[in-house]
Amino acid sequence: MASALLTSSRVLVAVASALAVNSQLPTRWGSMLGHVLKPTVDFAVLPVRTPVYRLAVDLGGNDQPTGRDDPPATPEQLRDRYDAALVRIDQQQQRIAELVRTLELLQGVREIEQPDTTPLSAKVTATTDAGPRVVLTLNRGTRDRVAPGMTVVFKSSVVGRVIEPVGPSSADVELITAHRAGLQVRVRRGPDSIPYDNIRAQRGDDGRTFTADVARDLRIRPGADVLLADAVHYPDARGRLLGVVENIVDYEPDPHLLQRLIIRPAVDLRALREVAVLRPDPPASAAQPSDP
Amino acid sequence: MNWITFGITTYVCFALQSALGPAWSVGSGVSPNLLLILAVFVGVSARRAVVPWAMLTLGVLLDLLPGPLVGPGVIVGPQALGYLAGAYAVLQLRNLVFRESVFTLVVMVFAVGGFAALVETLVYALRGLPWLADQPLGWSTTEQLWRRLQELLYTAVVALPLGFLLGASRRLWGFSSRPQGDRIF
Repeated sequence: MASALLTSSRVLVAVASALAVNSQLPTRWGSMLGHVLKPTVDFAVLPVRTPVYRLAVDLGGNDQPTGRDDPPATPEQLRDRYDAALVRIDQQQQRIAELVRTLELLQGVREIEQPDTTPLSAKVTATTDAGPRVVLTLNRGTRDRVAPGMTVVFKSSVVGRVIEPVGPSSADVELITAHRAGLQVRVRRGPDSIPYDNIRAQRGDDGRTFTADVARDLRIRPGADVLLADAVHYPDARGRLLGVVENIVDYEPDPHLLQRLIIRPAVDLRALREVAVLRPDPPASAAQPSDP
Repeated sequence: MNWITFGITTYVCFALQSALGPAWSVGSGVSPNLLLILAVFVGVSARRAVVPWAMLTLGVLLDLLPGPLVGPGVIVGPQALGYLAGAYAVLQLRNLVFRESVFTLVVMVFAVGGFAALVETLVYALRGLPWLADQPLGWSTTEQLWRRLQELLYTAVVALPLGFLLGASRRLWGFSSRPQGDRIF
């Protein structure tokens, strides 16, 4: 039976025709088959994919400092060690500054009125770079009440949003760098200065950064924090970090009036091990059991 | 062809394909395509009737990985059709090459992958037509082809070591030395 099917060119042509039609249907109809197959396949490969991904992140990550070396034998070695120690101290100071900034951001997030959500930690099991967009696959799904549209964060940074299809134990997250519509953002110049509001960030041409065109007289410097303030697209992620201003260039059409901010995500969104899915809290009336 | 061996190898390659991204992607996220190497290996060696089905299966699996369509939905078809075109190409070309050579695999990866990439890009581009799905991708076709060319080059490099591995496991695959009915020229 199977052999006859394999040798039948009519069956092959029929399958190819069905696929051709399916690939030209609107997403709503064309993705029905994918909605069944994808969660099944994701579930099947989860045991292998999870450890391999962790290993891959380890391999692709920065070099970790090794253990203590032998004591320096010559003055040159001592000088080298001293220089290296100065560099490490500098790195630690930067790290402390980053932690302080993260703390301030988290305090800022708490102050903003936003829908109540409960973060659910999820492990990243795969990253797929499909050209115009990058998608992370998580090990959480409908069993953990993860649904399409939920926002995904890493510490104080926005990562992206859960998209369909969501399987029982897997969910895809489209990174925020794929978001085509503009996003309202707020640029913080420093802890003691008033932030600039009502700035619109657009997806950059490279698909990895955002750009924002602002007036030249705004005193923004590279390194300034860019916070999400969009109540339409990411209402539950307002106040979280979208990225930092990496560079400021002239706005080509009108360089005397405007400047362009190049905003890069604060974390490497393609090499995350663990993220948090923001699940909306159920209404208070639904959460409390009714009295008998 | 032994379908159990094919299934296990496909499972491992599919799991590694996306999980290894952070370790081996270069430049603008270009990474090799292990399933393409497997498809070409099967395409070069297996029975004629089996090749389209095996490559179609691999194409469907690739469609299940996140594609270039921004937003929700997984469209099954573009890669599957691309690999079906690749199957046709490999069946035409395989009689001209020495099938058990790793270098054949490398060259065929480039040729077959090129066919598959062209068809896949075309199918995605057609979605933008108003009387079809009317969902333009908002991408540059030239850029996508350039990206796929980079992926093919990378895949061809990876095909060298993987080809040795697959070649060493040839006994497990149950390929006959010369498929019945196959012409030499």
